[in-house]
Amino acid sequence: MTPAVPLGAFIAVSAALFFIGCAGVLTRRNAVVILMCVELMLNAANLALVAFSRRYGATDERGSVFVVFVFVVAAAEVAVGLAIVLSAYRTRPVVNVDEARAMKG
Amino acid sequence: MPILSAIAWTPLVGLLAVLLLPNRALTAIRATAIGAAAISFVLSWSLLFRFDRASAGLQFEERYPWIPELGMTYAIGVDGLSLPLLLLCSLVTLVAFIASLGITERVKAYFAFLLLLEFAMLGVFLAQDWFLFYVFWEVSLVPMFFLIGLWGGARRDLATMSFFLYTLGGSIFMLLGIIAVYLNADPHTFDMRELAERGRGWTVAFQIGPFLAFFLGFAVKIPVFPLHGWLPLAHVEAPTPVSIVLSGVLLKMGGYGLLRVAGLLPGALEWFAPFLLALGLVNILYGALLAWRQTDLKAMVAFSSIDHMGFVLIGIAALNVVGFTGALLMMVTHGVITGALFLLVGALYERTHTRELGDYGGLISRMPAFSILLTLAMLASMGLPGLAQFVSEFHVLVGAFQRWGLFVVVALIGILVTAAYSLRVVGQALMGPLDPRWAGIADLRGRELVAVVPLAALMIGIGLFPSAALSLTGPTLETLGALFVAR
Amino acid sequence: MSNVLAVMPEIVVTVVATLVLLVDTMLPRRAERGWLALLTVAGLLVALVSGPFVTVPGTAFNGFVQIDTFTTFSRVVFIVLAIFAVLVAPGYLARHDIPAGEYYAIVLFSTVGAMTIALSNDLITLFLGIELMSIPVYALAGMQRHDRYSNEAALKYFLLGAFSSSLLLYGFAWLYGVTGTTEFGPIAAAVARTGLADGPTLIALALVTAGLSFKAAVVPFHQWTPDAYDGAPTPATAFMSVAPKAAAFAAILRLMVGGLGPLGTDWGIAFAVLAAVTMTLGNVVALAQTNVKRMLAYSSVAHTGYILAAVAAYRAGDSAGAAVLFYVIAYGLMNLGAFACLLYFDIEGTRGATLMELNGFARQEPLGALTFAIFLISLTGIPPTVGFVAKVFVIQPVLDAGLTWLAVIIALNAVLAAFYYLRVVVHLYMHETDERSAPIISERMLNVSLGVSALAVVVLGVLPDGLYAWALQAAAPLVLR
Repeated sequence: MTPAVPLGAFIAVSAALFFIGCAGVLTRRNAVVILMCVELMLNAANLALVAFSRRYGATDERGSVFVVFVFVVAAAEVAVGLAIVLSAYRTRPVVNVDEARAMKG
Repeated sequence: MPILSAIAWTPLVGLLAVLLLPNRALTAIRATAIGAAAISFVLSWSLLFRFDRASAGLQFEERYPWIPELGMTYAIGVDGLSLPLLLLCSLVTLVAFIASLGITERVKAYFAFLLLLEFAMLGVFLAQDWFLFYVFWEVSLVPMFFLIGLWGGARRDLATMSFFLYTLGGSIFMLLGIIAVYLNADPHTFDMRELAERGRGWTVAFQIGPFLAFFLGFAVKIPVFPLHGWLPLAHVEAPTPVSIVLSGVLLKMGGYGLLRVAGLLPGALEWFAPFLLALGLVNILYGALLAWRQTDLKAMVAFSSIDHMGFVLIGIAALNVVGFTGALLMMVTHGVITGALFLLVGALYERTHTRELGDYGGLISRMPAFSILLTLAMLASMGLPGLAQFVSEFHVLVGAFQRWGLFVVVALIGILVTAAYSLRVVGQALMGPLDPRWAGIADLRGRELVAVVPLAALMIGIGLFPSAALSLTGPTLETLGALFVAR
Repeated sequence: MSNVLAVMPEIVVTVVATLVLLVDTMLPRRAERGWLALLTVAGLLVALVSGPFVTVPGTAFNGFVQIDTFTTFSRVVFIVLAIFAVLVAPGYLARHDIPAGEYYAIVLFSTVGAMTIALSNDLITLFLGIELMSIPVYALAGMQRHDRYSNEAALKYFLLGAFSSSLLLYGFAWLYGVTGTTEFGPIAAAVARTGLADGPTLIALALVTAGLSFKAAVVPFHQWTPDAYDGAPTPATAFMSVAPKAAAFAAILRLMVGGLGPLGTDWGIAFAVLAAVTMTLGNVVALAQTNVKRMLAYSSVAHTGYILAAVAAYRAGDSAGAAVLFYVIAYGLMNLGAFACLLYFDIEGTRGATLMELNGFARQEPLGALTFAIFLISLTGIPPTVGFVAKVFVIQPVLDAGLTWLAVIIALNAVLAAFYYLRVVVHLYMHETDERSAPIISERMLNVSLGVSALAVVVLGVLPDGLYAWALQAAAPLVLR
């Protein structure tokens, strides 16, 4: 199989994913949606890592190794995150982060 | 025996001993604290017999590495500049300890803080390493903060906070100055003597920055006119012994530091001298006029400190041996006199619970010893010939006249105003008809006399035999004066 | 085998964490759990001792791991902070019905993460360490499950933490893209060749800086700090405010100084500006607080600024790195101590005492008040405390690097900070107990651990030489020569 898709295309997709995720985190108010956007950003990084790894393939494949680690970390993060969201929902049944503003100053 | 370390660390040993005593053992606590201060006093005054008056250099030096990576050393020693102030410090603090016998609340903590304060002040005058000097300087803030804040008057919160913030605000810049000087020396060092030798070669352009940083630290402590806001407040709210230490010793740390920096950054001092003269004159006029306007006796003494510290400034601004001598002597004599004044005013307040000058009158008939001592201190404070302050004011004025000519006349106005309010106190409080409220008032007690008589003796002693004091300072100040072009 | 030996302390801490969890589940539900803290501390001490005995300097795991003087120093810092954090907690955990075993295990797991950062020699290890350090702490903030402040703290901390991790990761991806390697040594060589010539390097640098700034709570990436610190259970706050920050600075030293050092002229000035903004904003906002816990939260932002100033002075060489390390340990002791002193006050929920609630504490608990005052004086930076020498050690390289303006800002901030720290001392000592004062709780374990650390704060303030010399050694491998 020839490398039909150039590196630039992967990076462009990855950058787009990253900015969508970033914009989502900054604009959305629902905690679960924010969590999803964070996942989007992590996957943007994964895509970039894999793409770069293929470019450096012969000399350094650590980019691909990195992605495997990121999968694990992301899974752990989501597990803890959902638990926190759930716990917050139990004490106060809203998932809207704007409502979570008991503390000020 | 490392005598200087013994002098400095005795109060700290006393502090540990006091902390180990039970809270209720009041007599033991007081005895331990005063004992520690007395040992420091005796040891430091014993230096008079061993100090080589012909030498300008450091004596009784001790030197141990402290933080060798950055060149900080535990270096202490005395020369003609620090010895008089060391003696003043140990004497005035001992007097303050004796005056503290009247403290009845949280006695253990009080003496612990006072001992820590004495340790820090002795350290400031002994340190021969700029970093060590700074550490002792800052350590003195903590006990002072608690002494004013816990045993002070009604507005003690405000007084102690403003004291602390003003002083820290000045001294933190001094730290920058010290580090800047340290970095500019090659190899880096904090040692006062080595830096002074290197500093003379530095350009005036470089010297000005660090000098201003140092000056800011000292100016708050002295205090120099626009930075004096903490002083009246702290003095009025502080308990009597703390006021004695504050004006008797703590303010002198600023003047002492300035004289030390004169040897370190002479070029910048020469550049700054006109401003220093102006600030000094403003201090004299401002302090004297405000003191004159006060009816609260303690506030009056506090403002008179600003007035007298102005003389220290113009003495230094004179940039000659006579001026430096006057400035140094002024610090000693003012420490002695103002210590006595605060002590007497405090004793009077204890009996009458008022500090309003108008409330008194005719006290001489009931309190003869008090009246004689107060009169003596007031006369000394206005610079009567034959008493201590005259010698120092005379030196300052002669020195400053040599350099600045007729500008010095402004200082004479200050002296006149000082005479006016000093005599007014004597006239209103001591003379005239006795207010019936004070019919049963008691004269000074034994321990009050013990505290104040040595100070009074010094006022007369230095006034009559100034050469005894001048012989200590001579060679060191000659060396310092030689750095500046004579005029 | 040598690979396993290289990470022995980390393995020990992980095993202890698992052990604590196991023992906890086997205990009956209502059993006394105070001694679990002692088990945890014993395990941490084993890890502390095991470090110097079994690990040898050098790289391991094919260059993923680097054991050097920096690693050794940081391990000790993290373990000591964890011990302190565990020892002050038991009373609070029991009173507020927080599962003690889980609490200690979480602290231990986070400590493993922090230690992993210190031994990382590769972006992968570094990312793994940062996440392993952060994720447990999110849970720690939410440990008081029935308290809405605790939940809110955990939620905010988690969302912003996860966001910053993804920024950081994306930066790492770009860094890998421009240098073709994930190992720090080759990264440094690659950026030294190219400099900041092209856009991608700049993107990588900006993303990495922002991500690490989030973790260290640098303004303007600090917004999570006050809420997370304020709402979390107080012993958790004490731990959260020091260990993750120490770990973040370990990451900054490893990556920015060790890996991206050749770009120092570019990030150095950015860090200097960020440091100035951080300390000033932290102090100014802290001035306005009446709740002591929230005030300390903002003050910890200000201290981030001081540490960052030392990073920005990287040009001064070893002394800048040593200043960071020394300040981190000084900050760890005094800040953890100051937060832990709030445990004396029995207050509903997770929020700390207000100034009024401190009134007259010195009369009721003289030794507790003394330790609190020592921590506050140290945070102010007055001798003879470790906070003072730490500040001097920071100012020295800052002036040495020619950042005079930054030194002046540090000085001004020291005065600003003195105001609000001393206000607390005034309430502790100079106000009498009144109806607003909070009820006081005195426990032996809290008293002893606070007393020991207050003593350490003073002793290190008088004799900092040994620790500073060690910090200089630890900083040495990071500085490019």
